[in-house]
Amino acid sequence: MTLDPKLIATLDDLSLVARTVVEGFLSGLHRSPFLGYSSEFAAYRPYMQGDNLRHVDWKVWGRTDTLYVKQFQDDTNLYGQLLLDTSASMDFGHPLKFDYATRLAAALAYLMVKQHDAPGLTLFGDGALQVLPARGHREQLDHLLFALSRATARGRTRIGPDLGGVVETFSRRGIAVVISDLLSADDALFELLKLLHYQRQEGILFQVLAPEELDFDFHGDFLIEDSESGETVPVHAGAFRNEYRRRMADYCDLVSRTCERYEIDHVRVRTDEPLDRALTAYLERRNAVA
Amino acid sequence: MSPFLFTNTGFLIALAALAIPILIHLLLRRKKQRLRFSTIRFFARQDERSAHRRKLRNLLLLATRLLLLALLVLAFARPYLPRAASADPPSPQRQWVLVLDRSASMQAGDRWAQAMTAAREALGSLEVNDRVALIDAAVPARVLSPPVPPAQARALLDNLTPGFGVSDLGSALREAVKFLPTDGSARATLQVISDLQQNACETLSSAPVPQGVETRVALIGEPYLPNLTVSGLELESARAARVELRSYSDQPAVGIPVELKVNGLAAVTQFVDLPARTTTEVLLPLPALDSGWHTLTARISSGDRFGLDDARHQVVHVPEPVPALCVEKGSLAVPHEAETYFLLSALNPRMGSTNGARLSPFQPEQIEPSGLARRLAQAPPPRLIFLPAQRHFPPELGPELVRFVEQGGGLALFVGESFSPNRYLAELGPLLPAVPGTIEGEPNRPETHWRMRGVDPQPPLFQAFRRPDSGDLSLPVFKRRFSLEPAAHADVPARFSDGAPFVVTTEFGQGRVAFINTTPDTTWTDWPKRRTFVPWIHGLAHWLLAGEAAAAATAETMRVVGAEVELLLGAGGFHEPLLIGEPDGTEARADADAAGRFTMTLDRPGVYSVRHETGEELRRVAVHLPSTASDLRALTPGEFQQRLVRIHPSPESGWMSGWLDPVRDERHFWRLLLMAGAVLLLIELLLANRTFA
Repeated sequence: MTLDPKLIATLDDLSLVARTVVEGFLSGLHRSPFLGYSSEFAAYRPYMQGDNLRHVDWKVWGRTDTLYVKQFQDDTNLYGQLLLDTSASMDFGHPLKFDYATRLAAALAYLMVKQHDAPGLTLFGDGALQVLPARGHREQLDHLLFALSRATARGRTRIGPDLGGVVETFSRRGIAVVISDLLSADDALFELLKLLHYQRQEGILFQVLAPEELDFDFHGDFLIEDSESGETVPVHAGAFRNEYRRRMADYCDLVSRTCERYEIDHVRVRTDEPLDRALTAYLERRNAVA
Repeated sequence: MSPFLFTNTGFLIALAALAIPILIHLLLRRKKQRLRFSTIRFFARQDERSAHRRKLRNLLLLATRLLLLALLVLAFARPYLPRAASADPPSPQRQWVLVLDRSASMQAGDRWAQAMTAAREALGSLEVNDRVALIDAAVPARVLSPPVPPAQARALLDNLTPGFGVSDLGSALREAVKFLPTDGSARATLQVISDLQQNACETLSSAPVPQGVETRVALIGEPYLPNLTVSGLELESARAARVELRSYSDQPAVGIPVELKVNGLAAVTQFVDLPARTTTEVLLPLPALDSGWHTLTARISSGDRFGLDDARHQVVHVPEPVPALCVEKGSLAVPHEAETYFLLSALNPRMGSTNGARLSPFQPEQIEPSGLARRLAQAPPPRLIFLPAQRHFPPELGPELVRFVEQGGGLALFVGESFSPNRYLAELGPLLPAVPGTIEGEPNRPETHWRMRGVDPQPPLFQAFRRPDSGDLSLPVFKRRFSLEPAAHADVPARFSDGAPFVVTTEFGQGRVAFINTTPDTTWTDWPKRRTFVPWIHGLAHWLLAGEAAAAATAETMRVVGAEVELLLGAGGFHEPLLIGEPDGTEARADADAAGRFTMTLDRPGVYSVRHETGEELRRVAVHLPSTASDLRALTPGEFQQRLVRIHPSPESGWMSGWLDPVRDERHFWRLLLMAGAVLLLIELLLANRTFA
């Protein structure tokens, strides 16, 4: 089942959005590939030295004289950090990149909760930093969706010491999901990727780009205004289109190479595409971590 | 103050239209939409530079369009630069070409004096550093002087005299234009001084004059001058001359005396009436002319102001008479009883007269058969022998006659009662054109007599009868004759009515022989009494002479002034020093070449005489004015100017001259402006194409 981004965009209730997206997404899967230790039995495996004896199924030992360990569905054993770019550059495109990113974050949070992971949320932008630490309790999703619904995109992208301090709190190994367009006046966002790598986080970068940014299908003379700095540049779209596309492609290549260097999955998503690719990418990364 | 002037100043108002492209530029200037974008990091610098370039191109485009519009408006306004304000430093030099008419008609009245006055006045208006060229409007036109200072040209004028030919002003203008600058380096003036004869102006259209050349015309004389002329003088016959008179007057002339002179002596005067603008012929009698050269002069007393064509000359040459021997075996004491009486009378009708004149080209001489052989050896050698029938031939006469004919002599043989066929065959056998047989005919029976029938006048013997009504050859009656058997190589130009040969001819060696089948007197025929006998005898004599100079007086070909003729003087002029007597009485020396050829230029009307130093006259040549010289009708200066063809200067004179349009004293620039506009239009297209791509 394909989740139509236009349909998703019409939904204001993030919890509804998250549930609709995730449930629809999961119903398309044959089974959940994510297994762990929980109260719900999943399977047996031979005992290995170091296994907790509490998990040995003694009844099976009695019948077969072989030690087997019972496996259960895991329960809240992974921290998922959501880092959402709230700079003004996200406030662009049709649909808005920020709306798309917010819904993506909500869906991922819902999915994490569904997977018994502990989602956390960090909104970073022009110095305004809002942090919701990763928790596994039931209210965490409500808090997170509430924070997302209140978030707005404004100001410059700034990776300062405060954000660095937040990242340093990711002491437990987990998945860090960065949702950003990575478009700023400088390459400061690369510092964030670097920090996450150094904190041994399994990173996924969802680079959210609008079709207008990728195709630059404008015609005529424009005075292009930078959404973060307010600077303007006169541009003749027709004459500059090819050059723009070339530059954009070069930048995306640079992002990919940087992610590769920091062992971060780079997923470029267009706002006119369904969220499936993003959710699939998350699940693949989570499975690898588990 | 601007040095430019405009032909259509009103068009300059259209310069206000320059505001249109400015308004369009301002109003339609593309307003940039403000587009809030996520980042400008991809647009920085480079596209900013291109935006500056686009802005600059837009300004250039606006400027190009403004300039293009301004050029179009200026081109329509047709700016021009007066020569005085041209960029080149003004040259004080003026270039004049003086075309002077020196034709014979300029000798009418005081025209030449008027022409000289006009020429000197024209030269007097020139400055020292001006240049003037002199062109003679003769046929063909001659450059009398290339461009020289005015003083030098004045000196040249002082030595000029009018000529005797005609003029061609078209040809003269073609020469004149070669000396006229068309690039504006000097003021060019073409001065024509002429009586503007219509004949001289017929080729004006073939001589285009550049637009910028000032043309001045000085008419000499009157547009109309009545004139009577002797337009022709021909020798009608040995006894008459035909004078042709022509009137170029609008009024008839009555009682004009026409005088014919022979060798300067008045021969006859006749008064004639000449209708207006017609040609009249007058036949005037000529006195008998002795052998030698004679000058006939026909003159009228017209009273008009152009007397040069009132007289015309003709030269007549009368050759020496040809000696002809008539062999008479009878008595020489009583002329009319002689057998050759009619022959002598026919060959020289004036035989025996005492006035010294003669009318015949032959000089007959009676001689006895016994003296013929001796006479053949004497000078002057005879050219013709008329031999009636001979019963006996003196010793050596037969071979002498054969030798005579072999060497080019002419022999006419007649028959008669004493004709002995055997003797003739024995003595003259080789040259006889026919073998004689026996006598035929009965004199007392008229019904048996013969006549000539159907004589073909084409053979030279009968050439005198070619014209209609020139004589009836069927009238003579022939009582007796000999039967003749013509030789295979002989011709029979005339026969009797029954087909028997009347005349049999042949060529023998270099001479000719004619066998006439009758007597030269009235014994066997009545022909000597008839009118056709004399011309027939003359025709026979001419044929026997093989067409050599036995003609009567002949007129020499008349020449026109200006002609260069080659005279073949013949044996008399080989390598001989010659004296040329000219019409004005002067004499010049010349030499003929080895072939007796002599070339002379005939530059004035009258009679030229070519003589040996010894005084023997070899040739006379009559020279007259061209017939068109007498027609004095002229154009007015206005008509002359109208006939002139004006052209723009040739583009070959300079690459810019095709774009700069010199008209009189101006330089027009409209072509140049249009060309610049076209280039700007091309630039505009390129700029616009790059700007809006």
